[in-house]
Amino acid sequence: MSRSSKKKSTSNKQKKAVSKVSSFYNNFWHNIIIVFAVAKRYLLVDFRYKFQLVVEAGWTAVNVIVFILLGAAWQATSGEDLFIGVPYDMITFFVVSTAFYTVFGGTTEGTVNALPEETSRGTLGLLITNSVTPISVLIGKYLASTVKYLFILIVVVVPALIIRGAYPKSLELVWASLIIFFIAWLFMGSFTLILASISLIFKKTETFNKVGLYVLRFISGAIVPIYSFDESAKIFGIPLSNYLIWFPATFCLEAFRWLFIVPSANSLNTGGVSSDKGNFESFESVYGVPIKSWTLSDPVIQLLLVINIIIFIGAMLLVKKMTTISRRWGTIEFY
Amino acid sequence: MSRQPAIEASNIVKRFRASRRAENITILKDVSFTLPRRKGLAAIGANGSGKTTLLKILATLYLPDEGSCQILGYDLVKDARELRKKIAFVSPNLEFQKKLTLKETLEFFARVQQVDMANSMDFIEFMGLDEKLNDRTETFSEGQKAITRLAIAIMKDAKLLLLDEVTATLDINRKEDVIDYLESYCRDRSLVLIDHSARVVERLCHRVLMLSDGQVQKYVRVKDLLDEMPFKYNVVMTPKRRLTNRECQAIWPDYTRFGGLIRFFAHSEDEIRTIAARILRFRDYINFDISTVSLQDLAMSWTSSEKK
Repeated sequence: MSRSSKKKSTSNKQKKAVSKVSSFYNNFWHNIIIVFAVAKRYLLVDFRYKFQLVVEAGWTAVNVIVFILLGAAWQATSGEDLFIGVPYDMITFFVVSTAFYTVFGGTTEGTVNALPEETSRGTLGLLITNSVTPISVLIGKYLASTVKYLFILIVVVVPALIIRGAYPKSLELVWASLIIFFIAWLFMGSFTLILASISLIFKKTETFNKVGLYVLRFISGAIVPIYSFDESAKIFGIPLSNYLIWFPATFCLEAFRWLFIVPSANSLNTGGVSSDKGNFESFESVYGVPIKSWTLSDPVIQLLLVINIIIFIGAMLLVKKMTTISRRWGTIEFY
Repeated sequence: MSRQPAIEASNIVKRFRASRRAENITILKDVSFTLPRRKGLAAIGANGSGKTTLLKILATLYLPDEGSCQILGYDLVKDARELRKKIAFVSPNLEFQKKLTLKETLEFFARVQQVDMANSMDFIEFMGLDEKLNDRTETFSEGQKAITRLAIAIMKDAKLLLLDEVTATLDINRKEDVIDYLESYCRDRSLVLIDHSARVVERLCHRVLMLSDGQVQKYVRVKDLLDEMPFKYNVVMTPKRRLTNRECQAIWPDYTRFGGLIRFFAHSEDEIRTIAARILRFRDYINFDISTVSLQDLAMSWTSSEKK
């Protein structure tokens, strides 16, 4: 090969590479625009179904009241011996659970139903042929639902949290709460995408979704504290809760309870005295999670973030794969 | 890329999964055709012949199980993402978010496609729907929804339009307006159309793809198809009462019933004169019309054979 033809071939390769990068960059921004446009569309629609919004807010208020009563009854009958080490009592336990699942339970339920709703309404075909893929629909809906349920959270649940004294008491704790919120948002987003991808192939998945969400609530320790079985359930001599805590939803929910009730960020590592329960131990000594600072510089937090980003990307690829299968089987438009 | 045909479909097969034990249902069998650029194609055939499935494959909604297809130089399967920017698909089953206004709906589609709304606004104004811009689509009639669907399709300046019965729900005046608009809009674009109205097909398409049981029966120019018709004229009679077969045959042996009407087929003007004279003598009729053949006749004969 002559020198000039070699030069030409290298220049062509470079051109192709540049064009690929530029195309990737354009597609990436186009996708971001689509996702935000979809989110705006859902927000407009969700807030126009006012009766539905009022019912959901009312149902959340009922949940808060019921779980406060349940927590009070639990405390009155069981005493507090079971909960040695953690800084919160059972009322806070349930109120934070309610807050967590008001946002993430509502968001998940709203999003997994997005594709079946679009399909039954006949809008999915129009969206797909206009560059709006099922992934864009799901992520856009997830964003919109997050805003909607944060609104319900602020109106209905936050007052209850404030009355209970369950809120971050310092700026450090606020930042830590935001980081944990983002990790939880990523994980619940992945969970939602995985559930939603099934609806591309199988129809009438509502019950399956409800079961999935219920199991998640249980594993994440929203209904029963994860350390309840520590005395009887040990694996290699280590309490069950020390394993369960590594499940992202469990970790985030439990972290919120601590972040909302401890008096300072430092006391998460040293233990201290909380308004709910008096003396408590450090997070590490209760769950064995070696977090030194609840910031992005902590290796454990970094690990959780990276793992959840990977899970999220994996969930998106799953939706893409399921979309291809449903296009082949023709189930993409059927409901 | 621009020299390539608008569509080059080769041996497309589409099967749908039936129940687990049953065999898959084959909807399209080895469908092949080529559509040159800036030409219109009408897919016609009886219900269940595979027209809509074919259109949905071309619109990248379904994936073919076998065969290949190049659209505007893009591979239908590999380049679906790019292709969606170049094609527009309209189907009567496509709906909108009912709580959004017409303006919000158009703005959404303009945003996701990163295009200007000017084309669709022109069309909306042309169709007199601009007064409804701030109305929610839940208040729209089927005809207004059909116009909105077309407005979305027109928005992105697509090079290939895939239209499935876009005029079916329109009243006669609006249908004419839409045909007029599409006639001028499709001059430098390619079109694949499904429409039961032969008048729409005749005005917008150059070629006809006749499908039967998922297979291509004929792929011909509209003019050739009309030339190939087994008769040149037809007389449609509206009788006062239901006629017996013997009475019909007494007027003319080559006939078919269509609803309450009877159609007599003629090959020449002489035969027309004979039929007309016999009907006049028969007297038990309300009226009768004489016309030359059109795709309307073809559609009627297809529908008629489907009923049989």
